[in-house]
Amino acid sequence: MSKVHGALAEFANPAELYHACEKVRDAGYNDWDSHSPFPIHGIEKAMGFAWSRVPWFALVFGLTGAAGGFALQVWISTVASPLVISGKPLLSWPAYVPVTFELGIICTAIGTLGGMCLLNRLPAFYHWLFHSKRFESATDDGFFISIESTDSKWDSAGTSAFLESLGASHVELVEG
Amino acid sequence: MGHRKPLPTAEEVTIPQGHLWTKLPLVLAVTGVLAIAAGWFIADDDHSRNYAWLTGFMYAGSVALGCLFFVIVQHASNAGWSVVVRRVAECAGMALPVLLLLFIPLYLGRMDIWSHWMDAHHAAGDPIIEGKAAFLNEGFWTIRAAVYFIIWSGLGFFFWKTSVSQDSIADPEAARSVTKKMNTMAYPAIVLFGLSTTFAAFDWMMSLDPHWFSTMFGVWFFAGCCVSGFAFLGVNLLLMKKAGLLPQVNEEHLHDVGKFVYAFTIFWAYISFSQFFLIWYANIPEETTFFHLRMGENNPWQSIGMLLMIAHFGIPFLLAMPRTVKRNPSALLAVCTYLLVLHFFDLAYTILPNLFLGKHMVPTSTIPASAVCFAIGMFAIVWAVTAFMHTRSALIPVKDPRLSESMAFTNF
Repeated sequence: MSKVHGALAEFANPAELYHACEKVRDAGYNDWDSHSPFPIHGIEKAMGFAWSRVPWFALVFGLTGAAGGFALQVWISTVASPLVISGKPLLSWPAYVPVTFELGIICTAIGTLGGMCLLNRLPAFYHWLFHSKRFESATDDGFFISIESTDSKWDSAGTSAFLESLGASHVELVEG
Repeated sequence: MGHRKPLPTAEEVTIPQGHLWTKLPLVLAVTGVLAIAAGWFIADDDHSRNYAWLTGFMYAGSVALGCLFFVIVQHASNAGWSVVVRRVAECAGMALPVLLLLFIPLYLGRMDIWSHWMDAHHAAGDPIIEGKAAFLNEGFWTIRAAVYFIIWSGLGFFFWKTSVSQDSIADPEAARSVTKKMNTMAYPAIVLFGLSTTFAAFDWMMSLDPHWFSTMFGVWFFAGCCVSGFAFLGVNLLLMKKAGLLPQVNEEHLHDVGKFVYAFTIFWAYISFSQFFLIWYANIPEETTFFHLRMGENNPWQSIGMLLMIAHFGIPFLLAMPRTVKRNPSALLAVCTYLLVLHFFDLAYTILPNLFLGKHMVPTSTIPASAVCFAIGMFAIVWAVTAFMHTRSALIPVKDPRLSESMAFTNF
């Protein structure tokens, strides 16, 4: 019941959060995140994000969708239900372009959204940060950094002290 | 985020005396004149020379028009990111008045080029052409051509002159009102630009075959203008950077220019394919004549059509998709140059087959050869004017109120 899930540090404004992120990044933490009510330009650089793997989902799904859409039409009009339409050959590829395009697009969209959810482990109905009353202001006027206890560099006292040294106005260990 | 960089002064972003770029206008102008002369003498007869000239003229014109459109769009959207690259495009807009000189041979050869409808002898007894006579007649055509040149030269001059005059305004409030003035002018400019390029495409290219029509023809030409104009802007920026100019333009700006080129390459494919697709699917005789002239087993244009589909869309679509390509100067330079070359094939595919419309002509290699020479020559003239204008003012609108925003700009 009183397991420590991680540490939460609050900062006064986006600029302090930004510079604190740079220091957490440089300290070598991996399992951590920053929270702000609005997007902060360049925060992804301050946090040292690696490139997202979502584009690979988009590429594979998109190519599969386009190829599948094209193959479906070829199969229908040459094998399943061959019909001569306005004197054109059975395999009239220009006619397949719109559906091929549309299926490519919708599969890309599904792959991108699904891949993003999968990698972010969404939907998540519970998160340990919700145990912190203070964290509620993250959607209003609070700027936070959270470090998870699963991080290899985690050490309850040491991590709290580190976050305080970054100029946090308040640091708490979130239990629950 | 991060600290603000100091803003450059006009002197810092002016091409220094004796710099390589100051010699460029002369080199390009000489190249242009030589290439045009070569094209002139390569052509077998007046008829094919006229068509080749028209191809070259539309090629060079679309490049300058694309740059003008870039400037207009930046002002209309009040874009902050593009301030450091905008002057380079503004200078290309100043090539538009010079295009009038290159139009003179077309005007003199009008009775040959557009003979199918302009020549009363040809048109007599043709009910389709007689039905279009209220629009397709020599007098109205000449007036319209004059209006296009007034619009293009006027807009090109206005956006260049107003922006350059802002460079010497010290008072930030006065500078802001100049920016506001260009912003206000940009909205009617979009309408004027859209109408003038659409009708110019109708008048000079679509009417080569007056029986045929396509409502997508204007937007097809517009798409080509954007691809080639933005690619031309990219080539200028990248070569300037390689020559040590414009250190303020960084990979973030190049990335956005690359995105513009990439987006309009897709737009071009969308419009070109839609034009083909609707005509092919409906299969109505008065529309299919266009592709009848360009497709078929033994038709040499068939392979150019396939080339356009694969090389003007497929290859750049896949190659320029990765972010790293648009952020790498050498790769982006290659993509822009490549698209400028492919744009020629697009125009040649539309214009040159009309040479064989109702005329018993033997296809010869001298026709495309002289078209290539004219295109290179007139492109060099447009570039020479652009490069000359680069030497006449600062390369960045230094008093634009959004300059610091542009210099701090980053992509996500």
